Amino acid sequence: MLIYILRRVIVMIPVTILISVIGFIIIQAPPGDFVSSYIAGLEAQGDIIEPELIDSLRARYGLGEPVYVQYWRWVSNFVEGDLGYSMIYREPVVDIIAQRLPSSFTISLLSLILVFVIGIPIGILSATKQYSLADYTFTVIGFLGVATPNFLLALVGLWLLFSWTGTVSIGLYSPEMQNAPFGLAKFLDLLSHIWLPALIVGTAGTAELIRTMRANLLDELPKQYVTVARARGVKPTKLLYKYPLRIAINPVISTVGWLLPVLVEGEVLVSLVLGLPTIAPVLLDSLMQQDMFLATSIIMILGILTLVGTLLSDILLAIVDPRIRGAV
Amino acid sequence: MKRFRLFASLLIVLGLVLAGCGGAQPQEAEMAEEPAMEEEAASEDDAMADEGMMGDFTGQVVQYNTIADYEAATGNEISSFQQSPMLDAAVADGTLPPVEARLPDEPLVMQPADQIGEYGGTMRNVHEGNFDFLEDLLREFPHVYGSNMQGVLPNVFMNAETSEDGLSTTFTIRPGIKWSDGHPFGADDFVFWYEAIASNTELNPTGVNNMKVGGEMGTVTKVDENTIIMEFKAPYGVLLERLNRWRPMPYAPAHYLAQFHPDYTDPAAVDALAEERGFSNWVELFEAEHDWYGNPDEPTIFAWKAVTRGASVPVQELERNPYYWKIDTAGNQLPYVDRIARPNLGDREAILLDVIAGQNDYMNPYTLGYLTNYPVLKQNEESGGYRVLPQFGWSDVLGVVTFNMSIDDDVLRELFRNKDFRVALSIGYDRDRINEVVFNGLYKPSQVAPPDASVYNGADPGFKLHTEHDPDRANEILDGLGLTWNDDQSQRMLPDGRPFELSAQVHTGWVQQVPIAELIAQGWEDIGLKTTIVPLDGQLHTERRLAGDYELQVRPVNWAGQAPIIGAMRGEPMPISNSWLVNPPWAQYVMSGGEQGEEPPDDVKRLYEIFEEFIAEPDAQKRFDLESEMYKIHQDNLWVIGSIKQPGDLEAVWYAVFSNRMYNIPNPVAPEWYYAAPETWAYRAE
Repeated sequence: MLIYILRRVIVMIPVTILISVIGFIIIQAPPGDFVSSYIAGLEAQGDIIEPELIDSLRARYGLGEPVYVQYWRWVSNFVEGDLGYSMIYREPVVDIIAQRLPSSFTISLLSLILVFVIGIPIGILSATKQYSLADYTFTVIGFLGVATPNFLLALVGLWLLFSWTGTVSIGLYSPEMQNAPFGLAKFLDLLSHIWLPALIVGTAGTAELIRTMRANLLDELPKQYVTVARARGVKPTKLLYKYPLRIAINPVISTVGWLLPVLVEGEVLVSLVLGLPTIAPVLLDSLMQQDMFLATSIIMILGILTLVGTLLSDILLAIVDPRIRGAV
Repeated sequence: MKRFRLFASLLIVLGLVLAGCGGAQPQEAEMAEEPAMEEEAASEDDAMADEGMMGDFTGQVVQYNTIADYEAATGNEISSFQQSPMLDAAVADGTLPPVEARLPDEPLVMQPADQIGEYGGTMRNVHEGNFDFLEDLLREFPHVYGSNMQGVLPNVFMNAETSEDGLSTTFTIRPGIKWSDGHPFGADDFVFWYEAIASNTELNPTGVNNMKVGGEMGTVTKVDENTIIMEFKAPYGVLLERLNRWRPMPYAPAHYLAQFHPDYTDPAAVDALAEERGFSNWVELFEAEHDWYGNPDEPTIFAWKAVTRGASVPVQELERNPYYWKIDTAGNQLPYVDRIARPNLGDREAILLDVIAGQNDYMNPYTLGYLTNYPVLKQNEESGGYRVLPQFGWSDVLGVVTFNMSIDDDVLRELFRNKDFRVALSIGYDRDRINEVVFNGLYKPSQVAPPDASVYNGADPGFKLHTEHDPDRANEILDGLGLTWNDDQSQRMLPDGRPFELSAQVHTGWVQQVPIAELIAQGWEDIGLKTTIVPLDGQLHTERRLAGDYELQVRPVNWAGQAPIIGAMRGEPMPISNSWLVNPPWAQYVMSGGEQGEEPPDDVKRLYEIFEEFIAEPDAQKRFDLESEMYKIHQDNLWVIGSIKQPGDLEAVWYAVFSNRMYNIPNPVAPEWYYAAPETWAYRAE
């Protein structure tokens, strides 16, 4: 088991390096840099831009140098824990991320829980009652869930909620709670706001999980050992939970790994629409204005966290399924 | 099996209930309360309107330089000063001096738009990110432009006197203003700004434009605690006009910032501090410290000061500056509103919804999308408990076509530089149709022009030249230029036989640009010019222009011509910017005195002369003549083609949204918020 985990961790190293290189290159890819977007902003205000100003700004941020020099400087600082300086916010990047990452992950985590709580039972129901009305209903909902982009769901959700109740579920707290000290009232207020984003972020994941769960279980149910057990009079529920479900759940656990990036990515768009104080608006700002240290650092950190998520799901799988441990 | 089904459905139901009830309860509670609040608000509103009628409130902010001025003008007296109850405790326990001691010797007197306000409240102002539109609330320019566009009024400076040769101006700083930490504000803070910031080659490698005449920085020197002199190498006639939009502020808290500046503190210590704080050099440290929006430690003289640190906080919070130096006509220290909360909503649609739901206390027209969302805002005005107030607007000309006159293609370059060709393009499409289709006929066809109500009369026929759709004449001109049709008569050919295909990069910063450009392209298609529309984000658009990588660009242009924005000093009409929209190499030539760029036609040289003469000219009439000449030169050359102009200008053509909790809002509201005196806005506690 230890060797298995060790092997997984070692594999993560080249992947992390690859993420950093690709992330950095992609952010550098569009023409222009932070200085040009900064200058575009000044020009929009009618300011007069002198060429010396452009050059000196580029020199200050080290933007004139070749990409590999910039990459090396960034990555060597990154390893030391210095994520650089955000050009748009004029703050150290690490402060910005530390402030916003927790709420991003709260939402993603909550969505993950929702996905399981909703997805697994419905998947089981769909499989055991194949071709029933419930199965068809959930199949339709499932396909809709997979097909509808999250941000659209968020907009529609916002609007429906507004037209039905007259309130706007924007942000994580109501206006009057915004400045209140954290306590029970504020926590309840948080709960009353966070369910919508968590639900929306989780929709696609839930729909996919329903499909996976249903298919897996349908593979197991017709197998002979199930028929035999049933013939011997094992109670249906006990049988279901003890044998086919345990086998069917395997792929579900391994999906946690790839569900995480889906949730994080979904969270970014949904947070933008719902105005949540997560990493999303900062990421968008930094990408639009090509604040490369901020943007690359966010992408890097999201990437690493996803890798960790994958690792966790692998470990979980190994615990649940002895065959995988043995396969090392 | 049955038990399982029950279990599963229970789980589902439980999940749904859990998901649903979390949000439902508080919403219902709010619903029940809201109508009651609205009723109360409405009746109060009426009472207040009556009260306002009895006084001499005008719906606009009226400003008096001193208490004596106010008393002389109205016969009323200001005998005592009051403060916000928020500060009472601090004054009682001695941590804050009494209000009389905090106010300056000569407080500025502001008569609010409608009534004497009540203290208190937290104004909610959502924003799109960073410090978006925070400048609207936090600004104290040396001079201020009146909220109903009355002209330049005193603010931080009480008085200004320019020497006869125009080379030096002496300013009297309002005596006794204090920074928000109680430290005296005065001449030293202006000198510190000049020496430590404006003249520092690391912070401002090219100096500060506002301080430059004839390419050289002027100087700021202290005479006494409340007097400074600005001196320039050449006459600076427009200095006073510039002071009402002087960005960034020409003062800084010397007593606070000196510790972060290597000229005032041991450089090694500053570097060590920068490193400790995670910055790579002192410049980053200094810029983070000299940040009134994001650094709560830096003292300010604005009406509110930052409470939260940094731009990236989910909710930016501000609170009143206890040392603010303006009072209302009853002697109450301003501002009325105690606190401001600015939650960051990343998305404009979310902001719109927030506004419609009445949660937001004020919102600017830019974020609301100008005309685009006017109907939906108006429709929900009553249910949302807010009001859509008219706002004075600047006049932008939309769908302005600019040509790359230095394009790396001899045939196209020659064409673009040919005025006849530009005229043909200008009359080759139907501006009325654009007006009907995109703006419901509310806008006006025009070349690039100042506002109609401007002293330069933007309605003058000179600005309407070549705006009539005349495809026959356009065809005639194009034929005359040797742009013959191809064999199947579908499009024209360039003189060297290539098919004539243009690409126009459209600035997407304004939503209407793309539909306008499409209609322009349709018109040109009919006269044989095939045009491809390439929508580009604002930044990319600028980037391409700087790189000279375009044929045509379509964008909004503002040539000003309406105080407080001065056309003859703007980089758009004048060849004073490296990215001049007419032709950058021409601007480079005149800016560098002939060393760089390409020698331009005489008219461009004349434009540069006008710019230099204008800045030096103290006489308003002569400045008017100079700026008029600038507009004439543009009319004659038609270097760029304008399509359609926003109407009105000094009429209120925009709108801003205020919740019904807010009162004392000037109506119409000033076009830029800092002229709308937000310190006199008041918030009605619910």
